Amino acid sequence: MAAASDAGNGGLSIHPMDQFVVKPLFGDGPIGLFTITNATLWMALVVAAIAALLILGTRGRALVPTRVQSMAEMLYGFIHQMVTDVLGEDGVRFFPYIFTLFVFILFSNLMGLIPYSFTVTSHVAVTATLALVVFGTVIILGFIKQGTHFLGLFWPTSAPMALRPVLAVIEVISFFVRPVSHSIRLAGNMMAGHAVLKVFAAFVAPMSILGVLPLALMVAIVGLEVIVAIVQAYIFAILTVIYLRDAVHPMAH
Amino acid sequence: MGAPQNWSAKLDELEKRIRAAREGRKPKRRRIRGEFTAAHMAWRMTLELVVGGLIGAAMGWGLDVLFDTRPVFLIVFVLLGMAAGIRTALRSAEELRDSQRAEEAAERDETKG
Repeated sequence: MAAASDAGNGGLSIHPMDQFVVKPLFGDGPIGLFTITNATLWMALVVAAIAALLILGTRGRALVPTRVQSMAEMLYGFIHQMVTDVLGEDGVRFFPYIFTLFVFILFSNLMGLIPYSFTVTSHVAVTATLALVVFGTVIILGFIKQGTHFLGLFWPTSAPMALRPVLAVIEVISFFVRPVSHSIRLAGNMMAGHAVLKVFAAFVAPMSILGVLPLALMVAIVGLEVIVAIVQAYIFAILTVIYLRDAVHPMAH
Repeated sequence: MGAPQNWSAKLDELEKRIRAAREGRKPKRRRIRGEFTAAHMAWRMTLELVVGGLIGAAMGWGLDVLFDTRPVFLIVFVLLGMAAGIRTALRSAEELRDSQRAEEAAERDETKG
């Protein structure tokens, strides 16, 4: 503990949230709409990594796939299976969209685990944008498929007339709840895991020899984080699919 | 004269066999099951409860700023938002129950058949 108070002036200084700060890469100016920040950089890296896996990996088009090609194919097959399971054969037209969402989230989650990297999906701004795009798709699809009948979703016909306007407001709000809660869950999961890692990391050095304990815990948590990264990407994708199903086949419920 | 009829019968036969083979090869629509563990469901419902109130508060605040009537809409919409949150959480619970029932039924079928 003496070492702890020696290190830095005034004891332990843990800054678990510093890793989430968005800062401009060039210069120190304020962040505008087109400022290139670390978030921009890591999103570009994520896209580059996906392109490398999917385009370069399958370039050979080998009948017997190479290791990289079979990774790309497994990823593709996995999501394809999921989409056809939930949406049926004609749901395949949504596949490119779902696949893009899944791969983007998966790669940003996983690449965020690289030390000194920036986790794009730890920001609600990013995940909420993804969720809002899904949300917009569902609304547009609903109107295309059902026309103004789509609005009937918000008008409970089983309630007495006096209550209907109030219930309609409640319905509209509850229509918004799901996408918002999805995005908050994804961002919250990523942020919490990374913050916990930072907190434990701060304990390693000051505890000298006993620092092995938090170090061992960190190894375990990193393993857990890998699982969380994959599971969260999957959950986001499957909830998107289910949400889409409700818009395409409203009677199925 | 018998030959062409014979052919068409054979062709029909072949057609049928092809269709049967195609049907057999079509991947069965597996049910999505076990995707949501208890912890995931718990988190999901908690979040939905909280988010409902937050969205209501945001909407109320916005309307108040628009009409300059703070805090009338804020109060009303927080309450409505909470109701919406409860409604969504209940719906999640319903979906969970339905999927569990379907799963049980599927298992029963499997053990029977």
